[in-house]
Amino acid sequence: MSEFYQQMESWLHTQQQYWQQLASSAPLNTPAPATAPVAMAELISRLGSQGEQFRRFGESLLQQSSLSQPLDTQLDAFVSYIQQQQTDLLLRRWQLPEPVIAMLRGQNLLDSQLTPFGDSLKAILSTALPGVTASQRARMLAGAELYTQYQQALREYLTQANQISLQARDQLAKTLNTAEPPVHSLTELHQHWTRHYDSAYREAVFTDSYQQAYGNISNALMRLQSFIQQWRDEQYEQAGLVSLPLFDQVLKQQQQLRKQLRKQQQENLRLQQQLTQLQAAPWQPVMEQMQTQIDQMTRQLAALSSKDDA
Amino acid sequence: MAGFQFDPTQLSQELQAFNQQLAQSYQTLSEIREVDVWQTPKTEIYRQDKLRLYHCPAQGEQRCTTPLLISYALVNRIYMIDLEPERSLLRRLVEGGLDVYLIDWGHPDRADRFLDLDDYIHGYLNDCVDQVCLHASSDQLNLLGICQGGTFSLCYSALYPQKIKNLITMVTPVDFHTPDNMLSALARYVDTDLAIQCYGNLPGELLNQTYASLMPMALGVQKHLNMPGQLQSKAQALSFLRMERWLEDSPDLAGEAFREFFEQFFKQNLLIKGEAMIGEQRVDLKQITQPVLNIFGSHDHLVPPAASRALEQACSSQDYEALELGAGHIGVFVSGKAQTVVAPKIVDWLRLRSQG
Repeated sequence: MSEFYQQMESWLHTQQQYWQQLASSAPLNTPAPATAPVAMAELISRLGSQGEQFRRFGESLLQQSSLSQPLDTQLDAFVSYIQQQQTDLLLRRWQLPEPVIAMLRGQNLLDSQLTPFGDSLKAILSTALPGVTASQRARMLAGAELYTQYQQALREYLTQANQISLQARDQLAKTLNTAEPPVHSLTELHQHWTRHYDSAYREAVFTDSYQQAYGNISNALMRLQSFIQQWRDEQYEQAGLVSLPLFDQVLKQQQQLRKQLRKQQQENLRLQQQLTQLQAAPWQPVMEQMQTQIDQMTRQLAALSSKDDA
Repeated sequence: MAGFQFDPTQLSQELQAFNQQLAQSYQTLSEIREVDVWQTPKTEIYRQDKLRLYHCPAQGEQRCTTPLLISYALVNRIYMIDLEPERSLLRRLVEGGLDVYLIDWGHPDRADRFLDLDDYIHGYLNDCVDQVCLHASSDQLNLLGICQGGTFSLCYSALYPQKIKNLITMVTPVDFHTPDNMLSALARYVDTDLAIQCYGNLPGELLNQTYASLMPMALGVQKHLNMPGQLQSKAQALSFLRMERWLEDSPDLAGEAFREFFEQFFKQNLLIKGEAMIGEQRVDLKQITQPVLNIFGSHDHLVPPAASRALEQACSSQDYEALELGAGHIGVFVSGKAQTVVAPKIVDWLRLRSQG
């Protein structure tokens, strides 16, 4: 055991040196080169945070191993660690945009912790409030309702995501129970998890309940964003500014004019091509017409002569 | 659990190796000043609004007489076929003696919100076809469409069959309702009109997130964890970063075009039913009688192989050929097979059918 502790100590020491080196090294402190079109800073940040999570989990696993914790517990710890990251990604994916949060907060539709909009606040809004007009109150209520729907949709979506994780966990446990040779590395464990999770996810996507949850969260988020945009547009119009719908009306008219112009140009081109053909061979249409008439007359003559023969 | 045995020494070595890779990644990234794409020389021959039409002249002695126009999807950019010299489908085609023309649709902004499929197909694409024919002094051209650009090419070939000599579709959805189509499944309850009301143009970033969400773990946590391994040398890192640059360079989709495409193709599957409308004209894929080469990947998670295979029955071509590659949606273009199998196949197939 003492040998193991020595190894741990040595490893932690090396580890510390690395992180000190990284923290003080130029790449981390130097902004991404201006010519690099990829968002290098974001890439470095992703790299750093993912590395940090991986390292932390590995360290915690080492500590657990030293305390001889059951491997089943380690598996739960792994799933919990990775699920947390996945949930963070999902929350980021479905979070309200910052301007929407700011506006909801400005209208007291959110408290500073972004906790769910309570029924009690809805009840207050349902009654007359000093300094708040009836239409303002109605608007706030509508916003509160949409926000509630969004939160409900988000909860349902996360429930679906959790079910996928649970299914993946079960599959991973089965794999680990039978894996031969046994899984020794964290990297392998991640690979198994990825395979099982994406497979469970794929199955879920084809179920009606997942599709509904996905549609609900997408639509709820968009409804809330549209609501805030409409609110803003009304304020712009009241201030005598051009609102987005008015701007869109102009764009639509402009687009229709462009379309008409294009069709006109295509028609002109077609006529021009016909004209060019005519100019290149001016007698061609007359010749073709004469040929048609000759063909008709020939057929008539043939018909008459066959009658005479009869 | 018999199959799960962590050895502390081995685990500590693994973490140490990971940290070393991470440190090396930072070092490599710090040495990169520019991530270059578009490797093959090209000349702009036409522009309209935000669209640009480029010409990449054929190289080599054996040249194909009919020009090739490549139409890419509105999502992402066409330089995916020219990311780096070793992984450039475009370069291989040009070296194979093809005169290649490329449509770069550009980045639509709010002013393009009402551009619809009629504008893209009867307008932009048709104008590009005419410009290429004019530039190459040819009555017809060969059309190659990629992904959504392939769907556009199918519509165009059905509507203007006299202008297209040969048609190549790559990773192109034709039947949008095959049972394994994840995108259609996800789209089922999403309100398209609301999306357009909310965003105007559909943000490219949103589409990227949707694509990545089809394999959430592999393209999320796992991708980030694999990153240090792909950033060990400058060459490796550049290769990785070029792909990242392309993934992030995702134009917004013109709102009305998106709505029409999503509703008609994804939700109602009208293309395969022969009921899709482009402007006032119905698209009948049976009008396609030209030779058709249909290329797709057997591991494509965006456009499942069955969605592409459906073309054989949907069109009337008597000279139909399919090439199924053991690759994913992007691998069809950037993998080793893309260079050694796909490009030579396209060149030979076209050369055989373009003479005379």
